Amino acid sequence: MNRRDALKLTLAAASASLAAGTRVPAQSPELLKFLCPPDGVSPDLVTRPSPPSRPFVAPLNVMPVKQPAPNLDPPPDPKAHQRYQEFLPKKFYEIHETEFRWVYHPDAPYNVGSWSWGFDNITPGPTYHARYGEPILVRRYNTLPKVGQSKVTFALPRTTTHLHNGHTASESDGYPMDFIQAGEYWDHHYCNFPSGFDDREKLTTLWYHDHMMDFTAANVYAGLNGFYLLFDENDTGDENDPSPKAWRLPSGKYDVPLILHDVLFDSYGQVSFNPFNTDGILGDKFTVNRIIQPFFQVEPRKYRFRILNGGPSRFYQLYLSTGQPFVVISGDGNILPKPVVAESIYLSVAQRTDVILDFSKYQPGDQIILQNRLEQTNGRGPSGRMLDPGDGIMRFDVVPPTGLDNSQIPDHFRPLPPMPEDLSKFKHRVWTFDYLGGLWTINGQTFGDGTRVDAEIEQGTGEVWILRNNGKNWSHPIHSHFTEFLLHEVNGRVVTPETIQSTEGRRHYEYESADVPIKVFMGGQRRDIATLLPNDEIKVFMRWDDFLGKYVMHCHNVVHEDHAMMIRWDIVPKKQAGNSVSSRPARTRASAAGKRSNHSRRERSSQFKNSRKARRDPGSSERA
Amino acid sequence: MNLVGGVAISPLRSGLLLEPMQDPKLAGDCARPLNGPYAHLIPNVVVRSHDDRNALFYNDLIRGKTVMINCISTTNEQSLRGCANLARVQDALGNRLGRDVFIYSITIDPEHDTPRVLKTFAEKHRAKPGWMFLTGEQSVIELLRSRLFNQGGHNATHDHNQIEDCSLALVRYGNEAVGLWGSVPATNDPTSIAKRLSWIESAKTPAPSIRRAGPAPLSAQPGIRT
Repeated sequence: MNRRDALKLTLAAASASLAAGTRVPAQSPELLKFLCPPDGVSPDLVTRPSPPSRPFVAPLNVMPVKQPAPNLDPPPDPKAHQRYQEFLPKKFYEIHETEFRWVYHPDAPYNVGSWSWGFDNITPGPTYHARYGEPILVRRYNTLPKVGQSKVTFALPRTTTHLHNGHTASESDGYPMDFIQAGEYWDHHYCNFPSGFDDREKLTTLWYHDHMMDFTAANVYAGLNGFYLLFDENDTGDENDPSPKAWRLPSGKYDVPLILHDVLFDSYGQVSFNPFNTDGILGDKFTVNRIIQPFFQVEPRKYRFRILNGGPSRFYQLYLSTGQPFVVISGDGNILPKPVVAESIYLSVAQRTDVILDFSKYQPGDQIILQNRLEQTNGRGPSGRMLDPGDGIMRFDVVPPTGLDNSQIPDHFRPLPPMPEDLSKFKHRVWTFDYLGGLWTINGQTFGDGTRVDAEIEQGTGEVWILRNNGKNWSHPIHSHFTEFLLHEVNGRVVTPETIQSTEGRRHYEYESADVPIKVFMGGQRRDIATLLPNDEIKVFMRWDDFLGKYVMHCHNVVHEDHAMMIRWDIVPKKQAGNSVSSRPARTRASAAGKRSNHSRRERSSQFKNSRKARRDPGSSERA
Repeated sequence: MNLVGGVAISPLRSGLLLEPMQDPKLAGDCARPLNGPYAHLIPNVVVRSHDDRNALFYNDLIRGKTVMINCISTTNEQSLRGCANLARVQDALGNRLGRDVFIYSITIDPEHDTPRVLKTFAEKHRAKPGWMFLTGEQSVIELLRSRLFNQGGHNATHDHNQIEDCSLALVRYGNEAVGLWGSVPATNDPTSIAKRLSWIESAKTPAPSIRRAGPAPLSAQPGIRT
């Protein structure tokens, strides 16, 4: 029997039975052999690999800086935003979610363009340059084609954008069910002040991405993300800044954001997405800013690279082919107390790090390859093995200098917010990450529809959360919105402000001296991704200030998130004596600076102060 | 300089924005296989329904349709909860069920769950036309499980038994005419599960002119007062 005969026989049998409702002979293995795809389900990138492409022939895509609009018509509704009058927007932006063809690579078939989604017709979207003390309002228009009219078929044209790391009011945070459809817009008010008006809570490299219920992985894979950078009087974005406060980090064209995505393409060069994969999806084409294995011309001087693992499911451990270490200055948008020299960078999904690379020792013509050496064969997490030499992510090509390098790397930056001395007086919660019935669960539950509140947290308080991975075979990069994790323990070992978390042989260890390069940088004490490797338990302290409303914590392997590994937590008004409830925000900008809250706006617009005194004993609720 | 879709592009530059193509013929060049967007992933195997009819899973039940798919076992408690909820989902779907929306519940225990057993199970859950309970050869069921729910076939590696791993708690929902698929917990609010099908419906009209959608005034946002 040949394949055609087998097909005819089975189709005829099936048709007859459907028409007549009669039984047909059972399916024989002989027929199955012809009708079924190959047995087992190998990863898509093995069975249907992307078309070949030459490495390092396409230039790096550097996203443009988003420019403000003169005004918005109609104007925003002040009554729709918490603390709007206190943080009146100083700049307005309009951004459009659109569909277009994007050329990932000049080789065929990629050169005809891959249907993509993005912002303002590019992916990643434009980069916001925001400043602390300068509130902005972003009007986001969903101008995507509707279902059935879109060329990108696997993603859902209902969207909600989350500013990852942002200290953002709930209604602007991109809650998964706060989505809009094609033809609608949503106003996001970004106040750009640090939590509790505490300078030590400041952040640097943020990113924005879609967060649609059930479809975050698909919508981000389609292209809906971009960078949002925050500057202040230290990190001014000007390497020639004469201010004594300025850190003078590499700036302008020497400050380059890089989003890493691994993407799978079909034989037509179109992005391929498997919606039936519950573990996580992997691509076989490494892209940086949505270009397959680009090259980037660098001068023999210092650069600041803001490296983001944009997912959806792959982890990276990055090296430079020359063995040169990275000078790490931030983890997940949190500036470290001082720079750390590391031989490699470990990035789970959504993790970010700002590094300084100094190419001054190289000659024009030299080439340095950024490599990923962490092996991962399925979406559940890294295999634990290392690749040698690894996959080339991008290449730096050294060219002659065009001017002097006035940038600097300070010896110290700013201290982290302090960990309370006695955590026992704070409320403790345990969150266990597991798997059940095809779903990824937290404390045995799934997200549902986002209407169940899994934790009510009083505004102005701190809590201790224990994040526990019950899985022996998978990893979860855990992200909680709005406020940062301050790590207290990793697998029982205490973390200090100087501790750098690392991995070696999947075991965490701590490093306490920056004088000698460490092998792996996995983040400092403060970050917004707690990477749970198999069997890990991480204890964190968190603070909730300034706003009320609903937020989420979820696994940032976004395939796990879409299969319901997410909880809702709400910031609720702090309970007063006698059970009365106050909705007044715990602290205003003026009160944090020790001023009366009715001071003039001019007075309040001065730079934020360290609220050390206030932070010494953040509002705590008694342990449950 | 090349012309693609009537738009001038340089083939040597990457990251270049191209205007949306207007030529449907050219659009088809990078479109999906004629057999349906996910024909390569969804097995076209013979399954048997609770009313003792056979069908080719992809060709007859999936291609061009809007469907919900879950796994069941008539003897599994978790499965019973999910099916009880799907019974409420079918009520929420109203007369769409069987007309342009279909529910397929695939047993993971074909040896026990014969068409006769499934028929009794269907009657217990008041299954209306359009909700089919499916069984088949063991190898067929395993293939459907691995393709639709356990990508990678990692049944044994989730530290649980295989029954738990067969997504008894999960419903896939999809519009295969487009190639748009999502997933939702089987025990979610039935109205919200049914509503998801409206998310993936093919549009009959273009998007309306732009209008404000949010955020709502704080007075209308639960948990926030000003």
